[in-house]
Amino acid sequence: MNRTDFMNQLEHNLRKLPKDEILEALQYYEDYFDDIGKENEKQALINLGNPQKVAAQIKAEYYINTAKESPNSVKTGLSTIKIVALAIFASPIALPLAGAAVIVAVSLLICVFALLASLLICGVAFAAVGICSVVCSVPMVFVHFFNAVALLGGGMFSLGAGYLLTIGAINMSKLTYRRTVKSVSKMVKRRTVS
Amino acid sequence: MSFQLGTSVLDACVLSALQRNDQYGYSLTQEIRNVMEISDSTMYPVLRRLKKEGYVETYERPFDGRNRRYYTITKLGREKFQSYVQEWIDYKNMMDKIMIGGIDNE
Repeated sequence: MNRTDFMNQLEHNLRKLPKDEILEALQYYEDYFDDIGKENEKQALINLGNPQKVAAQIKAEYYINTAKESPNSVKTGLSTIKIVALAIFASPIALPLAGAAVIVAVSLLICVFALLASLLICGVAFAAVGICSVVCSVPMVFVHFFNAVALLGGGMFSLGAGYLLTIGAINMSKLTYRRTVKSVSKMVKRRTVS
Repeated sequence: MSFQLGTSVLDACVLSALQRNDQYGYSLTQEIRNVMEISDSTMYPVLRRLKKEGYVETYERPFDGRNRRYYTITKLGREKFQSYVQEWIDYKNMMDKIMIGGIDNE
């Protein structure tokens, strides 16, 4: 990469900012390269590093400033979260933090699904007990009538409870799954767009 | 250095350098480098923020067949710098008290 490549990539990565912001930043770096001199250009490019990272620093600063200027608008409230995320990803020190955040999110998701799975198993077990009780109560009618009726009632209750639990768990899982896919794809889309 | 200094210290150092004389981005980076480790991409966002807050202004002067942009401190910037100096003295004294201990024998 040479100076021109760096400047082009910087400009490309800043394209979402207002025109004057972009020009100001580009002029600063043009000046910078001019002042550092042709012979030190290679070293300067190494020191500066990835133009994407340089752009991220500029963007983070810009968004934090804009958020400070109008703290009451709903839109900045939303984008503040994006800025914080951006700032974290832009800074090399905080990068492990971002990794930890992803791990926490994934483990939370696993917890939710584990909980739903256990609910589902409970539901199936209840239903199974119910079916057995109902079936067993039929021959018992001829031996102990009242016990049989009690068993039949208990069995039906268990069957009903099991059915409700199972249906509930399945629906909740579907909902969670759909929501997760939706929000993840939204996040991915946003990252690729910006 | 093992001490991590926050953005306000960097702001204060930049204002301090500018209240002595006007500078361009590269020279300013080099000067700050004498006292703390900063990367080549650190200075621009700091200057941009200070400019937005009205503490510094820019102007252009021809140099070597091109226009070089210089940064200059404003009146507001000088006031801000004075308050930074006061805060720094308070902070330094407090740290001395804890780390070096009993300087004032309080």
